[in-house]
Amino acid sequence: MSVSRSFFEKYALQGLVVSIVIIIALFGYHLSRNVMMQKERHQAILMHLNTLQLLNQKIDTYFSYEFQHVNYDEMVVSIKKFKQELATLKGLTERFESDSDTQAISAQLDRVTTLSAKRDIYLEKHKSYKSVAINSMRYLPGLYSDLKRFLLESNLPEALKNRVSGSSADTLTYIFYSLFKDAESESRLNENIEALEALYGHGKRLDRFLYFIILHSKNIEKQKQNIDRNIAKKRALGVGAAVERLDLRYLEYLDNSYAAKKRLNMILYGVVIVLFIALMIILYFEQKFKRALENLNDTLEDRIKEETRKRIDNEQILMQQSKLNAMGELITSISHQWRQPLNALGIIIQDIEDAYDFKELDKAYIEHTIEHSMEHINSMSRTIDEFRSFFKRSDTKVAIDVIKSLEYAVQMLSYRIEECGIGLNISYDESEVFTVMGLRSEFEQMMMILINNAIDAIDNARRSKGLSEQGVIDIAVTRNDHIRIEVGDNGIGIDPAIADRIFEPYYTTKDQGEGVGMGLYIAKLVLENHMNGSIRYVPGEKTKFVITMERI
Amino acid sequence: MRFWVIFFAVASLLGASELITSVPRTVPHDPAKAALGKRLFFDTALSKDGTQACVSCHIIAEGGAEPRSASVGIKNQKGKINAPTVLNAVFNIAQFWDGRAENLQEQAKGPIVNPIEMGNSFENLVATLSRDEEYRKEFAQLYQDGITPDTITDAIAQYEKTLITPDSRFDRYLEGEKSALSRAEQEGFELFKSKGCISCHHGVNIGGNQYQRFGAVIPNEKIGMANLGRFNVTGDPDDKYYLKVPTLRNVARTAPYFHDGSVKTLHEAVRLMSYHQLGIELQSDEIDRIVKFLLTLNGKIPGDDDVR
Repeated sequence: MSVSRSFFEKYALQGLVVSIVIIIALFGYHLSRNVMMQKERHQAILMHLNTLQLLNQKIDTYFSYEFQHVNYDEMVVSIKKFKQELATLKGLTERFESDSDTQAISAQLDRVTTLSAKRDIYLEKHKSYKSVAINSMRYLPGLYSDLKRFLLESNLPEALKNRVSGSSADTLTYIFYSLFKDAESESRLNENIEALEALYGHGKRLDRFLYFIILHSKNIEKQKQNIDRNIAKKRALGVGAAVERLDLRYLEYLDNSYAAKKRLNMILYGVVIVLFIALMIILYFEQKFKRALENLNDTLEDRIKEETRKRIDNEQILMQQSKLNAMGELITSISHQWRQPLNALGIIIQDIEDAYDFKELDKAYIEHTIEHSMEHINSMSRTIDEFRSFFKRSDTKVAIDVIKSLEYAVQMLSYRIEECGIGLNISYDESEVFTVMGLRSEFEQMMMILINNAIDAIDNARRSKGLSEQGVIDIAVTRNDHIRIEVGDNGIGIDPAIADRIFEPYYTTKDQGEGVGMGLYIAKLVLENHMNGSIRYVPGEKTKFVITMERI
Repeated sequence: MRFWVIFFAVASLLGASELITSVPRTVPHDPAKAALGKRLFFDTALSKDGTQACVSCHIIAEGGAEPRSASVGIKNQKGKINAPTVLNAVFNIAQFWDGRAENLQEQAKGPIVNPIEMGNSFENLVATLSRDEEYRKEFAQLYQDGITPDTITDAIAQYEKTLITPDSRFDRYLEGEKSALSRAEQEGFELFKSKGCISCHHGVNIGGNQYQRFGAVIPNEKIGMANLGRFNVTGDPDDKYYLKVPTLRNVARTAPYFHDGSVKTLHEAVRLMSYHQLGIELQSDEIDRIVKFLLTLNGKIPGDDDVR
């Protein structure tokens, strides 16, 4: 399994989860809002419709014959309330799902509004008529009793008195009867009023009584007709029916929309449930996936530790290996170093026999021989010491004199340098001190690797290209902020194509058996890990390596 | 169900036993807008030639009406009708004598554009007011739409809601302070009720909640047929000569009387009313007592301190 997930892999899952949650939330919100708002709205509408009906019925009761004074302010209030309810309903029913329902209900509301406005005008008229009728109704009994008292006291003819009294009494009676829409009573009332009118002309006082009784009787009759006509008109309007129709139309709409809404809500609920299940599944797998990833990560850490440890081991092995390589070279070197003193010793020893033969073996000769021999032996011993110190493993950093170590490395390889007839120059400012901190043998080894490589390169060039000019290795040590060592040669050079790979381990340009490709890698390791330095290859006509180290 | 509804409706109707109720101390309104409305009410800039303000005919301190029989508008044009009082107008069923305006705001639109009253146009009025920086600022503060016909008249209507006259002696009497009316005044109130004046003049405004024809019982051609009244609004021939029953509050301050302002005294007004509206002939002393009662209907007129 690929350890590093791409961006998509990383965020697709979270994105999916988040979007599902959002969709569920939106649906849920929509559903609950839909349900709640619809519910609230329907409840509000039903409540207002109910109030409207009650108000309508209340206003209907105002169209009554009640011959007593009533405070009409209440009617004004009821009518205002009715208008308010209509306005509220208009607002509440402004938009329904289906246009036909909206239009139908809106049209019915408008109809109720128009009709009720007309009804309000009829109510105003009713109030007017009734107010006027009430007074006449109240005056008549008083007028009648005043008339009776007048008749008792007057000296008019009895027959006239009886006719006046009888017709007045009948007028009053039939007025009350006629209020109950009794056609018979109405005609009898008119007969009696006519009879009273016929009685004018029997004195000013009687005429005045007659005038007012007739006036109020006729007034009542007239107002009654007005009221009846008005109520008939109001009935014909059918506000109540219109309100009821509005109610029914709304209930019809509710029935219609209920089924549709139920279906829609079922679908929405279904979607929400499915999404929820999907979310649960995803979260389950996400959890599993996470756990697997965590496991992998744990293993990975272990593996990295293991690898690191192995690498460190490898490094040590490599170092050791290279040391062994170096040892081989050193042994060669020692054998070269020892050849001359060994030869000399051999000659000295052979010379002892000759001296004895030629009787030259005297004290002086022996002393001279011992002195000479000891010189050679000391020289050899010194060589061994030096080599030993090279192999002495040191883990502690010490101050290294760069020039000394460099000269030592050169000395170690001097036999090869001489063998190849290479001119080696070390240039530095003698007034300066070049000291770095590090592991001395490692540093010397590294320098040997570089010089050895240079020798190889020159040797290689000589053999493959027939280099005619003298092989030269230039080592320049300079000092500024850092100690800088440049090792250059005029050997075969480094193919630019492989220049950036030369510091890799097991990378070699040398023939099989000549090298393992560890030299520069080790040089780099030594510098970077133990000397706080760096090595880089500078491309150019001459092969040149530059080492930079912190100075102390 | 229906039975109970009717039962309770009737019961509640019967429960409204008090025919006249006292004027409340306040009516809900917006004080800031009312203050602006007050400025407009007193501003002659409302009229075309800058000579007439609302207050020119509705003289608040003198009862919210005018002492002339008919209003005089711009260029001294004489109107045909006596301005009804603006005091307590908020309690009226509708505004104008014929009730053609449903409410105060709608009413306020009338005189501004009436050619013989203020003779202005709203276009011109909005432009005039917009030139006044203070008006611009105040309208902008109080109304989202700034200066418009609706906001101008709304402000005026808000002010008119403060033009109520509570605390009349009669109201105190209604609220239980029986000593607020003298014996003669109480008798006047009794006559007012028993003679039937109360059949039309009742409610909080002692009138103003219905329409009635001048000469309902005994016709009167001179006064009663001077104005077509409700007919102008409804177009129904039955409504000819029907006018809004005016309020009797502050009636002592609002002479001359009737829609044509033809009657100067309360005594004469009561006599005419009782004869033509009720079909009765009141004794002179009865009229006097009723007039005494009517004099107790003067409430506290809102002063300068009441609206700022």
